[in-house]
Amino acid sequence: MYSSSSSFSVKSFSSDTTIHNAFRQKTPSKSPRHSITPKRHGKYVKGSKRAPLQTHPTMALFRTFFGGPSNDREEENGAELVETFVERVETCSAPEDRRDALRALRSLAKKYRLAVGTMGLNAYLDILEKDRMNTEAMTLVLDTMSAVLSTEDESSEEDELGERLAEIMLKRAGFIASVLAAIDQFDFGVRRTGVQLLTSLLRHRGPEVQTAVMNQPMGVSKLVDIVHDNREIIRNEAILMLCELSRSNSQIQQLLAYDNLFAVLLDVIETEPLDSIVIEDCLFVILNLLRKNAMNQQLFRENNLISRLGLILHTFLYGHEDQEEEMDTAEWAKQRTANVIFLLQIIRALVSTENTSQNVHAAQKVLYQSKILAELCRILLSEVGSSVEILTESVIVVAEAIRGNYTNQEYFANTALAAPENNSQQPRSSLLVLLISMTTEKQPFKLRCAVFYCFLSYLFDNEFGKTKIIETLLPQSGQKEESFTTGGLICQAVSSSEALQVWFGSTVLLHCLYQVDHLSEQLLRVQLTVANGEPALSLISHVSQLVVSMGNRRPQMRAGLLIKEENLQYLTTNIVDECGEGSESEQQALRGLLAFVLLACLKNLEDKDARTSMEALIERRVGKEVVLSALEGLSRTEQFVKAAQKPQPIAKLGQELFLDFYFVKLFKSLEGTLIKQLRPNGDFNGTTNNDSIIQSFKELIKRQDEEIAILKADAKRTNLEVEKLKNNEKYEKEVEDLREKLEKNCGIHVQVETLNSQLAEAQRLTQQWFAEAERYKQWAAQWQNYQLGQLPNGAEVGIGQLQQQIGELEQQLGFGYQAFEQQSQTILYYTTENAQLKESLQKTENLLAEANRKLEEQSQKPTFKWCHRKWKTC
Amino acid sequence: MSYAYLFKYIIIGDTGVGKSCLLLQFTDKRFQPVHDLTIGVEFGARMVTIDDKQIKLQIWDTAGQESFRSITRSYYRGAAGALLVYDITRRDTFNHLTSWLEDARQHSNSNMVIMLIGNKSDLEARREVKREEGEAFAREHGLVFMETSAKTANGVEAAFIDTAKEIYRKIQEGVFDINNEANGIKLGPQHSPSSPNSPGGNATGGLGGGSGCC
Repeated sequence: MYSSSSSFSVKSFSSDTTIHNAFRQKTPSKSPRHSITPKRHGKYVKGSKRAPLQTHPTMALFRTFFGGPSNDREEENGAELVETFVERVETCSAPEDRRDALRALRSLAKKYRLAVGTMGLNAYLDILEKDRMNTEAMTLVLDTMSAVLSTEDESSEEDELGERLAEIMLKRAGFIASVLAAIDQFDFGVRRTGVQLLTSLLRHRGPEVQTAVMNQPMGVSKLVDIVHDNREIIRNEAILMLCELSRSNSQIQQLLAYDNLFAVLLDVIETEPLDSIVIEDCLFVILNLLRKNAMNQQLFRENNLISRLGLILHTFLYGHEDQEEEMDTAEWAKQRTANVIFLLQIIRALVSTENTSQNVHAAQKVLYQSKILAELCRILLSEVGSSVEILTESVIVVAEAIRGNYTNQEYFANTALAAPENNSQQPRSSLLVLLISMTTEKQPFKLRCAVFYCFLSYLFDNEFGKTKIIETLLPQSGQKEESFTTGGLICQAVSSSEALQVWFGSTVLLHCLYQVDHLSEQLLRVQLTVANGEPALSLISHVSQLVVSMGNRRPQMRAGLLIKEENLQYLTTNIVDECGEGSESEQQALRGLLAFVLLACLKNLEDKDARTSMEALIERRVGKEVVLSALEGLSRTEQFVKAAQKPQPIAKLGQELFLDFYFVKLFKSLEGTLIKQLRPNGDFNGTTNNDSIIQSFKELIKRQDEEIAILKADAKRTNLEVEKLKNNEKYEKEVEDLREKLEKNCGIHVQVETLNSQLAEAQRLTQQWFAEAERYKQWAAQWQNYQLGQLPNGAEVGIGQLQQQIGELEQQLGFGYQAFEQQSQTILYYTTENAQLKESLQKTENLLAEANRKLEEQSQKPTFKWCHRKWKTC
Repeated sequence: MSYAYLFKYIIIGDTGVGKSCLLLQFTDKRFQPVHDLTIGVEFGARMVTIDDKQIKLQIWDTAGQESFRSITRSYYRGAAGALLVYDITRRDTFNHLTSWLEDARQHSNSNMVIMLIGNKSDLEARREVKREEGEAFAREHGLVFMETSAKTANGVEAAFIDTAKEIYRKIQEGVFDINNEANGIKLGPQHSPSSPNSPGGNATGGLGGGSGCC
């Protein structure tokens, strides 16, 4: 009755034997029932309808679980108690008794999770399947099951027991179908507890439950229907359940979206107050459905839901239009802030760099058209009523909304902070606002990072924007330094004493130059004319290691102008020496950067003399190998790997910012050519090599794919042939039959042979008989003559005697003839039979030959079998 | 772009009969000779004009492989129309129609319009299923029948639009409950929901030609 216990084995509960083993060990000793008697729990036992008690195998399991010397009796007693109730649920026929027993189990569910969960499982499933009309029992069962699945101990994330219990439940055939059927019932208690149970199951074994739900036709659509339930409690439970159901499985996400869940949830959001936690749940589901799911993003756009999202965002930011008075005064409720952040994250999910560029671009267009971008810029520039978290999040959303989209970038650049009280002549453009917050030390790091990312996104693929920024650095006639310029702010950042600012500033400059070579020339002009103390060299010597990712950029572009003897001296000494303080990995990265700069300089030297002299210098001061190994070392540092992951900086602290995503890209693309300068024909094991490894793996995979395709085709063919061979089996069977017949005929043949020999023997015997008869005749004739000669007178007597004798002899002869006749007849019969047999033998032999020939034909196709075997081994 | 109605379609049928190509031809007006296997379900949309009304078609293209059957089955219920596709050069795909149809009838709402499509009509030389057979099957099961070629685009437009017309007719007859989105029909944003069954009076003004989506 408890079949699943045999497959239930848990690695490490309190004792180190598995439950399965423990079960085996304990069962024999348990047969005499020693501990539980009805009397001990007399107060629960009202009727006397109980069936004779049977030992419950789960007891053993339970004991082991709580086993161990230190464990108190109470646990064991609890298990016994549970067992009693389970048996009553199973055996009682009066509904009240069963109900009471179920209630008792429900009350014990939290305390004795394992016992209540496992011992009663059969009873619960029985009720779920067969007792659907009994809503009270159903509710109790569903409630009990979800109670055993959830732990009261909120501190630990892991709930191994709950997970095991969920696993056991899910193993039962038809379990999920029963739960879904329960949810489909309209009764409040049943539906509510059913949804709760499903939620708990999803929390423990999400993927399994998702698959099981999808395997129920209309399973998902029915679950979506429950959100329409006008009983608010059930609706909210359903939304919580959907939070779990919508996780990470793209197929179920698509199905949920297909069933209009987006619209349904937005409807719910629009009816809820702004600081309702239900809104957060709804937004969380929407976020799940959209994140990394291209099809759902497309559908979301198609159905014009983005603009709806914009309206909701507006409401959230500025309140409902009809109740404006409460606005702007009080701080927002925490939940409202959380809701706005979720909304922003949904918008961001649509334009995230994780998506396909096609999808991102379409979404960016819609964000612009639906004025959501404008709304976001407003948040960014106004700071009214919104917290720093919201501000940060919206800066990041704006960043991804404009990234690589020229229209949006331009729109963003043209928005400006309206500052009437400031009475300055020009409103500050949003770019300036960004840079100012980036360079303000007292702003939180997260916000500065977001702002930095936003600025980079503005520059991304935006040559016009880059040019405009560099132009502000160029000397301009007639304009005084009184107003801020973007370029000015960047330069200020680069030369500031705060390491973080320098890093931001230099990386921004790097992005200005990235993939736009002519701008770097212009920038060099700036350095030469405007800022004397600011060329790359001074930067390097100036601040911390953070500068270096910038410092290497400018000389890289037009190195020739910058190279002076002392630069090189500095660089070379640094490569050999320890580079100041910092972790080992930082130093390694730094050395790599210096090597990179050095080689970049070398690469861009066009003057032959300078080039040779520099090569000599490198060789003499550091040695080619050292430079190369330093360069190769860079790509192995933690910082490099970290920076290569995402375009958005993911650091939590200022110190962690070290290398930039695009610098890493640039480095990878240049590494090969740089190394070739010093090692013209050697191999190098840099990152490009990794690429080649990946390439080779790709090729391998491709080849394997092809092989798989070929093998698949092979398998298909072989299958066909196997099919054919199965037909051949029919022939084979025929041949077998024929063989059997042949064997029989062979037997007959032998028989015939013996008969023939018998026949020959008989013939010989008859011949002998004839010869004897002839002899007797002669003798008789002689005897006659003699008698006649001896008795002349007695001739009469003799004749009489003789005649008598003749008569006798003739009689004998008659018999002989008769026998002869008979024999010849049998001979005749045998010969004809023989002939027939010979004929049939001939036929069979022909057949046999035919069959053998067929067999031979088949055995001449060994390839089939070979293929077949091969396929099997595959 | 605004629309009077939105219809949800599904495309079903054996693997390799050209379901995804039909969709691509209808939405993008191009043909892709080599197409990857559809995994799960894909989706496309286009606006059409019927009876001077803008109607948006949202089409879900399902995977034909048996292993996806349980997933694709879940899509039947929410659809207003289905294109049941077979390949005229492969008899087995025609033979499987009965099981597809059973499936669809079992899991969809009873009013779903099903259009039978014999695809690849350009491959006349390799034809294995006669046009008459398709017609007979459609007549027997009460379906609308059409032969198409996703390659030459022959019949593709008509297949989708005729299905839409049929749904539209059913709406006007009041067969569909258009306020229940589970039927695969949605009223457009400018439609007043108070007069769901008299859509004739509602002008859809100011809309351009009926092409292109998104």
